[in-house]
Amino acid sequence: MSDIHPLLLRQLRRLPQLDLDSHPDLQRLVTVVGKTYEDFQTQHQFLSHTLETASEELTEANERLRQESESRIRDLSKLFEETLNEQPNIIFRCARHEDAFQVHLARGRRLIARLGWNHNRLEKETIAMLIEDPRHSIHFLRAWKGEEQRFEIDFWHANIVCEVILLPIRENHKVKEIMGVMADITRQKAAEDRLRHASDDLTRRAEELEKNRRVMLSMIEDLDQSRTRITQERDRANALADEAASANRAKSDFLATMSHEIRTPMNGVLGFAQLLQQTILSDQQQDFVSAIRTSAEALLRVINDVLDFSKIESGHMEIEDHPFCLQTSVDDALGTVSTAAAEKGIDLAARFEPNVPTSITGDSHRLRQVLVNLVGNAVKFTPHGEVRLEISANKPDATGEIELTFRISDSGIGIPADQIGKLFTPFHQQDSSTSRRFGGTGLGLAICRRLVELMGGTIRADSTPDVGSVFTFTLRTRKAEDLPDLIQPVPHPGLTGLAALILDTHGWSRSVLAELLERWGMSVRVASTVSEARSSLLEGPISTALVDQGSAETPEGIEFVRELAESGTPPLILCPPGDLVAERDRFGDAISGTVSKPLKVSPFFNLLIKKTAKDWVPTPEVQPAASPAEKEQFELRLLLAEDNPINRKLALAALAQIGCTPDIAVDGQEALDAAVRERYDIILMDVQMPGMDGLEATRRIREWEADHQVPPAKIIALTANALSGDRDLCLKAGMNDYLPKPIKIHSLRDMIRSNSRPDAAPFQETPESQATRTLRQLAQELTVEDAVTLAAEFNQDLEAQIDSIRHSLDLRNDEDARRHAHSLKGSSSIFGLEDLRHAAAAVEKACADRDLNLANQLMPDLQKVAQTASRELHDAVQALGVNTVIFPMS
Amino acid sequence: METLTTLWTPENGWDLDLQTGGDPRLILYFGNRKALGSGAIHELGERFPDALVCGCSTSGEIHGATVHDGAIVAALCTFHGTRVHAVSQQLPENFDSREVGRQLAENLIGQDLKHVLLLSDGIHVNGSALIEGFQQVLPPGVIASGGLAGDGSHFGETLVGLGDCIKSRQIVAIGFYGPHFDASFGACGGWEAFGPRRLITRSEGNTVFELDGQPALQLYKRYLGELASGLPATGLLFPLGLVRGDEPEQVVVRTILGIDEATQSVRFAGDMPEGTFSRLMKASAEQLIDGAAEAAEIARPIGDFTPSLALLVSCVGRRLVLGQRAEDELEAVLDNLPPSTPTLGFYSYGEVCPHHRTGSCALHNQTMTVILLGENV
Repeated sequence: MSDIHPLLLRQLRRLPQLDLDSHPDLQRLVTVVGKTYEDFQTQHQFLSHTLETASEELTEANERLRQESESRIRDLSKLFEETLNEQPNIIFRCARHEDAFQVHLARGRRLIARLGWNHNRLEKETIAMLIEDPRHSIHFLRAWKGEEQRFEIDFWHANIVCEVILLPIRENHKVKEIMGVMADITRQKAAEDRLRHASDDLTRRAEELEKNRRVMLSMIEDLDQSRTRITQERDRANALADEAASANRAKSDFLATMSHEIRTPMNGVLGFAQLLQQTILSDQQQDFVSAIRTSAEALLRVINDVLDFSKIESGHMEIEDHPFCLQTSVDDALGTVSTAAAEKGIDLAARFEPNVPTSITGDSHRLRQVLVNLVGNAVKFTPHGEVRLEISANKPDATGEIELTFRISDSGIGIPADQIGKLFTPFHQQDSSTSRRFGGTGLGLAICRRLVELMGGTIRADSTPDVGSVFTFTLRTRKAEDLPDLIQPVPHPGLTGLAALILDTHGWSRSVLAELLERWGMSVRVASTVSEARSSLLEGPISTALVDQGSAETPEGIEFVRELAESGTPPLILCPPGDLVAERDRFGDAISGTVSKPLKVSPFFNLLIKKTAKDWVPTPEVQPAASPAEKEQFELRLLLAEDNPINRKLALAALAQIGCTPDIAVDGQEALDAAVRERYDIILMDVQMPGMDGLEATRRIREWEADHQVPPAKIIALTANALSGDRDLCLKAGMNDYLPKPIKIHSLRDMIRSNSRPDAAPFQETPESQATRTLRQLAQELTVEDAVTLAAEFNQDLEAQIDSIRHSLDLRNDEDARRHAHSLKGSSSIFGLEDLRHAAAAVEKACADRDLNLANQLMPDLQKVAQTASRELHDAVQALGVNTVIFPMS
Repeated sequence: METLTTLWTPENGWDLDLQTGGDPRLILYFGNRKALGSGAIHELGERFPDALVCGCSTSGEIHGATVHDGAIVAALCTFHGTRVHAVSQQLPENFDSREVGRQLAENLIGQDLKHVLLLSDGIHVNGSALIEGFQQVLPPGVIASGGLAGDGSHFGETLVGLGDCIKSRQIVAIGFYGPHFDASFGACGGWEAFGPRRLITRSEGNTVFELDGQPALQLYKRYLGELASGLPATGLLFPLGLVRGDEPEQVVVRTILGIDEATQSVRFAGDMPEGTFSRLMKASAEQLIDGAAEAAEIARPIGDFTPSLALLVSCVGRRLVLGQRAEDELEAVLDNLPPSTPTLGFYSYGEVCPHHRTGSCALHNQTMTVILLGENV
């Protein structure tokens, strides 16, 4: 029973009368019950334990939860607080206490700070204290009444504008608090302002635009009208342009026609004036004819100027480009004014720089024209002193072009400064007094400038009044292949080492000549006085002496010349071309010869070589104005009887050309006396002479010859009358033959030859063409330059003339064709182009007969003949020794 | 249907004169593991060669209102029209409980199949999965009931037998075919949940590793206190009830089958899905006895059905709590049954029964499960 449950034990003890031992069933029951008690107890303990454990768990869980909760709440709180504080607005709560709205809560430290409020003190403030403007309190009052409010506050002290929203918070239908949000809308306000301004701006601009638009519309209307006007104007302008073009065309046609139409009659006038001069005229008539010639020549010059100018101005001036000898052109140009220069005693010479090419390409005519104009002006406006022409060249550029500079300086009257600018403008004269004094058209310089410009250069003038002027022009050109036999400014074997003496008072031409001789290799001594010259002779012997006419004609000079001649070096006299013969007359054998001044380089050289050169075989030279026949010397005694000085001059020149120097008789009486006194082989007897005419003189001479049994001289009549009747008269008077005037050298030569002594050397002569003869004649009657110019122009116009005939024939205008043919006929006769004259005459006749078919058929022949004739004329010019090419008709 | 029940003890053998057993077609037996190896079953098989002899080991044999240990109880069933057919399945090394269930069920499918009696290995099988497998295959209206074999409180090996083949890792299923066969069921635990809901935070199949993030074993040790040394057996005092979200009233009680100190985990008789809420359960003896009585109440047949056999499958966990008073619950059941109903059963490691009469089958733990079998005449 020891393992009985204590409780049961206790219970059993309370039943002492119970005797378990005697009741085994009871014992068993007690045991079971005891066990059950145990079970119950165990279970109870177990349950208690379970409960405790459960409670513990619960407590723990609770604690955990509580902590978690608190932590969570703390976190949330912090988050919430931060959020509230950091958000950009101010969130606040306030409520009305008595009279004031007290702030309970205010969060939003950023805006709070920016408004300048103290974050920490805010919740002690009243609304009134924070928002100073009392007007805003109305909103709070309304909110307190339950109305939501939205309004703006301008915190101007902080430059912040805020929008405030007030929300009433109710409890039990009564407002117990106001919640508010204050947001910074400064930027929005500013934007609003800007927007408003912009809007105002836009409105203003719109109004302006509208205004402008209206203005524009009216402007457009105006423009439309203008445009219509402009279109009309343009049409008009086009019409004018057309007119101008056709006017221009008309002008050029006019020029072409006029050029021909004017020059032809002018030439005719001139030609016939010349011819007229050859006829028997009274002194008064002679004067008149001279005047006519002079006027005609002047008129021709004016016409040429005007035509040239018109041509240039209308753009029809063509500049040719052919190779030519620059040297010769310059010499010719100077030659034209040499007489005038000599008369005034002006020292005129041209100097070439060493690098200037001798032959160039360009328009030789125009260059010559310019040079002539400028040099002519220089001489014209220089009363005394010198005129220099200096020519220089620059280095050729990459294309081989060179620029020549021509510098014409004079010691003349000069040009005032205010005139220089207008110098090259057309129709300018220095002043009207100048034009009266010096004449001229006023076009010369203008033409010069145009020509220079057309030739690719520039021209300018500088001047000092009473001191002189310098005209400079440039030319773009190229070196051309030298024509054969051109004299180069290099040492020549025939002259090298030889000594020369130059006596000339004119410093400029003296120095030019000296330079030239030095270039050819000579050693030169210069002197300006006879005594200087004599002194220089002491330095040693000389091969050549060159004495200027001016020095030679002084008494000292004459003596010096004789000294030179006696010492074996007769000098060469430098003189103007017009005096070439005279000087020879004067000095006779005392001089070696005469040289024209200004110098013509090539002829001068040839002469120098001939007279001076040491044993150096001269190459065949191009002799100016020399025909081979000059070599021939006629052993003839000749008498020339001619009263007219011009004709006499002509005749002398002609005779000189064939190497004859006749005696002179100025009228019939003198001729008679001379014939009686001397025995003449040939007497050239002018028929019309004052006093005793040639016929009478011839009769008398024949009588005397018969009386004195003297073999009769050959008397050849010089007559202008070529009529056959006259010839008879001459023959009846006793003349052997006759020569018509103007004297043709060819005929003269023939005549002399045929009437010369039978043992005279056979006359070798290369046939000289008619053209050459005629041209030579012209050259003497005018000047070489003029003759050449005329010939050149004839050749230039020839083609045009033929064209005119053809053109008229094409138009079946026989009258015009006849007129042109007639004109051609006339001008060809001036140049002795007989074949051409015939051909033209034939065409003229055909036209006169109105036989256009025939005329047309004759045209090709005319063309061919014209070509030949022009070549003839060209050759004639060449034969004159002028190295200017006048191009024959192609 | 007629049933004769008999008891075998090592001293006395079978208490029934086997010669007078009639012609049973089905013999069900439940016995101590050791006792089953004695040859008593073989004796039955020899005496009744036409009968299916099926049974399993227990954690206590129920014969009427008496609990035996070390004995074998058997019921000899004679049918009138009802056929019986039994299939068995040996569990391989790796097996899927669900698949096994399906397979077994498939083998039982047949005409007029009315009921399946299931006797399963009690240690290795995932009982709930096994039943699910059955559910998937069995036609609607066919119930599977039965239990998981026991092994005292050893939790070592259990035996299940069909004929002479009595082995561990075996499952036997008996199908009842015939239009007249009927059965009714009732299961009730009497356990009470207490304490907070605990989330199964980590589990795998029927093993729970963590509850509310804490090691599951720790929780048990804490509540068992001194009794913790008796784990896993003492774990039976606190079965875990799974709270179904959709049926918060229905708490499925799960018995501990084993523990693992290494992983601090606790293994249960059925699936313990992660994320399910659970509560610890406790019961007093009174509660359990009342529960048993209720189970019988629930199982009480409706209508004319007179059960010929009352099969009681109780749980080893109840025995632990009840202790001496285990027979009290048996009495409570018998009080609610028609008098003189032959009663047989065993204390198992798991009970298979629907919740209500027409409810779906489930594995129960810690319950008194009453299965009434009979034929409608």
